Amino acid sequence: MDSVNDRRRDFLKLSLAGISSLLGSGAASTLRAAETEGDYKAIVCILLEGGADVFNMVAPIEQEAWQKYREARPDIALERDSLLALNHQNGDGSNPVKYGMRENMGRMRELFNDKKLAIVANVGTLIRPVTKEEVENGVDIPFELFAHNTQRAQWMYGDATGNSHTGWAARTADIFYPTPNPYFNVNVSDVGSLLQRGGRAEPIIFSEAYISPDTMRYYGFGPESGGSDFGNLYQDIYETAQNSTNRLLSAFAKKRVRELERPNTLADLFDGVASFDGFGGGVHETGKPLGKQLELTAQILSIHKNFPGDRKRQIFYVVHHGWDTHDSDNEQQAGYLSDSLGAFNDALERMGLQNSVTTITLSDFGRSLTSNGSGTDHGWGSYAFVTGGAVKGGEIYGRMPSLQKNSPDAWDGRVVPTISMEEYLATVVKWFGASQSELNEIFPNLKSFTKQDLGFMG
Amino acid sequence: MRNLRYALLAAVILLFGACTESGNSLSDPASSQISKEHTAESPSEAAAFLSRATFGATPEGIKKLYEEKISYEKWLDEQFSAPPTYHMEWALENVKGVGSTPDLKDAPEEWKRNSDTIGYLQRDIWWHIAVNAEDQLRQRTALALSEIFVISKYGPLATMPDARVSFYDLLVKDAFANFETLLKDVTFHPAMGRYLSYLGNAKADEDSGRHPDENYAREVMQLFTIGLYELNPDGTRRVGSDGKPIATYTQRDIREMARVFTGLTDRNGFFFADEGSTSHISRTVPMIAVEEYHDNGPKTVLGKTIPAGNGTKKDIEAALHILFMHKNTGPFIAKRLIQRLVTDNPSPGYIERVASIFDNNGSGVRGDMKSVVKAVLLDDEALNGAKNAPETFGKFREPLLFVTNLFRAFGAEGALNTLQIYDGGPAYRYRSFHFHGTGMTKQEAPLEALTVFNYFTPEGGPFSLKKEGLAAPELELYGKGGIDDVLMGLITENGFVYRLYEVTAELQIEREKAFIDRKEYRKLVDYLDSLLTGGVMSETAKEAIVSYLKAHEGTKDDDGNPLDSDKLARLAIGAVMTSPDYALQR
Repeated sequence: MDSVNDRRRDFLKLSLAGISSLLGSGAASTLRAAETEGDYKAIVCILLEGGADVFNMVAPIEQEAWQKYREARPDIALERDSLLALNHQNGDGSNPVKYGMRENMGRMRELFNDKKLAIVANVGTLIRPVTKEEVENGVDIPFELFAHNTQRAQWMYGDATGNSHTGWAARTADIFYPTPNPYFNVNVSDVGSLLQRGGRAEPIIFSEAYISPDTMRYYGFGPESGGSDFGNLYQDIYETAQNSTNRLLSAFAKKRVRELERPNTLADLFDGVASFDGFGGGVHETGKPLGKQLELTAQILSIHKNFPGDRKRQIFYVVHHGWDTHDSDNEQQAGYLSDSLGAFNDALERMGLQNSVTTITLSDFGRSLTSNGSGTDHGWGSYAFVTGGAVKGGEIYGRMPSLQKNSPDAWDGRVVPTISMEEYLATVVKWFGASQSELNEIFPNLKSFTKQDLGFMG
Repeated sequence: MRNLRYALLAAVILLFGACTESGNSLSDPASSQISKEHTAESPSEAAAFLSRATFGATPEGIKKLYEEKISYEKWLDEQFSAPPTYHMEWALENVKGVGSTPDLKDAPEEWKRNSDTIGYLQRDIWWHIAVNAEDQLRQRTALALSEIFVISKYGPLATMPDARVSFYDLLVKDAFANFETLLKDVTFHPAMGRYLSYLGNAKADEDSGRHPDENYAREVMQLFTIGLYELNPDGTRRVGSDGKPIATYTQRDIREMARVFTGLTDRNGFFFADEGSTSHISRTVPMIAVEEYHDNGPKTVLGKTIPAGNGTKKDIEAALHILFMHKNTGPFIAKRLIQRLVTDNPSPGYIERVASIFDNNGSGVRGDMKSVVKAVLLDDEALNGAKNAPETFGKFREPLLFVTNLFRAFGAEGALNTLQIYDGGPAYRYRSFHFHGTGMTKQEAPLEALTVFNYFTPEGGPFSLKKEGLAAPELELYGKGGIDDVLMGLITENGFVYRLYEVTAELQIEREKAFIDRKEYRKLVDYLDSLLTGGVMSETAKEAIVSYLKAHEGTKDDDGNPLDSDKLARLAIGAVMTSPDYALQR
């Protein structure tokens, strides 16, 4: 285990030299007056990138239902006796069948049975509630269903109508912080995200500040180097280029100047950052492993009180790469997600933040119910997982689709969602403290759906 | 009112006239392509052209175009006929075993057995060839194509570096072929077959409810040929009566297309991808058909019928022909090639001109890549964009190109290095730069994108630009811990990255040192500006660098070492190459 000091060095090669405020005016942005002191809340969004095969994560465990499930995907169905039973109660009567989790998802099953994790059944992109018949006739279905980029963008925009072009997390930031709050949206992943873009403040991208090679310090790029004449020359050139007539050039120069200045503002924040055990690296992970991203998220949460100003709300973004497996059934990904969520929950409990942080999953789409011989193809309706102390866990919310050959809930082997992503996401943002009118502003198409609070947040 | 309108019209005519005038020296207004005889009017102009058409300008390249007055057209024709440099061939010829290890050519199965480490070989070969090969235009085009027809080390090809090298060679081979040939070769290559999971894709099975894999069916349309939306010839989206863009295909088309791509597998003797073990041959030669797994029924894709009973190969060729002939394919490919070589935000007119050459090269041939590449590079907008559209012209260099430009501009010399596979295991020796990374957090390496969507999408970039309707895809790869600090390490042959990778890329900077010795700082900066940025550096930036050099002449660095001409020359190069004017290729 690295020492706190090592961590700090790895985080940001910081120096206290020349601290200047990112906020320019120095005015701290404040949360809207409605919020009370001391109620820190964070949402951690995990993108299951590529479309998760949720039907091989949660499957019917009762003989008859399982048999039908197996007939729907004979070559990849999970074995019934391998499933880990879920202790759900069928609260609203829509899910009489009992379900189990995949055998390598022990940590998520434990969270579920401890009532710290909820499953949201059959959620997806919708323009309005649709029947299978309407889908067959192409009535009011979201544009380019089944394409990764368009479907992921709709999830990130929180709107499947094509009318929104900013992320729902960015709009949430703008609602909660009328004065731009540069610490609200934190991207801990290794890729950019539409989710957090388009608001008055750009997200912090931690992957870029995370490792700062020695050369950077050596040549004095950025104030964290302690400064040097060469570093000053570099920065001067970028500062001047902000006024370039070329719009690409000026936008880039502005971005770089922000990056150069930002660590100054963060300089003091990482004193006392915590270290955590239990975050593994996963097998054959693409890109930066989820565990490492969640570990960093936990570390940032451990010093969240150090963020300047009145920072009561934050949205974090992490990405679990590699779910688009047309030639396998996400076995590795499912197990790794479960282990990582377990470790993250442990970390939150150690910090006493379990009730303040809610972790939710998003994915491009669900996958096809039927198999292509070795895996599954792009689908539509999916399950989402929500975990945290504030979650009314141990229950399945919404009606599980019928998993069987020629399912009445599926069109062309794709499950038609019965819950819109807006209903799902708005339930979480309501927990953040958004009013109904604010929710309608953040999710402009929420009004097209009836059940705007799914009830899984306490 | 009427007078006002006439006044406006007159103004428009004047403006239009002025535009044509300024482009006159270079262009034939009818085609907006420059005249055949056009030669570079300055070293900077030559350097700018070479930064688009090669992996970076060199003093020799500039001399050829500027002093020897070889016309761009002639230069392109020479490049078209230069013999291709194949990466696999280079590896087999040059990668020698050390000690008891046989040469790679005598033991090709080592490619897979030692795939984790030997994967670096793929990068080493790429760097060597990108920097040194004579067929620069072909290699540069192949890189562009590899970012359209994406396969990656991440995913099922992780343990098959030879499949990846072989696929890259296909792009090298077909860079100047017909687009339909390229598309066909891509489709039949086992690397693509595995990457997009149609190698071992079987027809539907009623009993099990199994359906054909739709992965390739979708991506070959969305990413390789026609895209999601119906396009006008100028690349703008067509809109329907409801004012919304029109989808090019439906899920039914995908389903039908998926039936087409059934029946292919590699030559390892089994049909399904996870059966048996593969051989070097099965990983590198085109896939074959196993007809019993092919859906031989009639199919309707994009409104066209593929008749029953023709077998795998003919069905696939028929489907690819439909995509090749689709009216979207010209503008779709034109925009992507322009973005990869010339500018991130081409005007609709530019796209339309290139697309029309894709449609017909003037001799009635559709998809002639030579003519398409020529149209991209010789368009008036490519050559005069910095002058005529100063607010929006240019593309951000990809991190890979920062480094190839550096190595080429200063004649970097590699060394014979040893690649140790694992402790006590085989080792190989071959000439390389031993350079393995473009950034600590945002890596770019050939064939290593995280997904089939490449490192960035054509519409990518920061939101501040997006809302102005401008793309800057490559900026997705920029950031702290990115290319600038790596570059400084390479330029000064020092620093974390340089030492970590034990890079061997010795730069030849005698010319630059001589400027410093003569205290000709301004001349040095002007020279570097011309060679590296094509002469677009701002006056303030140049003056700032000159002042820095003057102020540091004869001083010491932080460690107390004198800032001699060698060190100052390197800092001058570094200051230019880490500047925003360099980053935005124009």
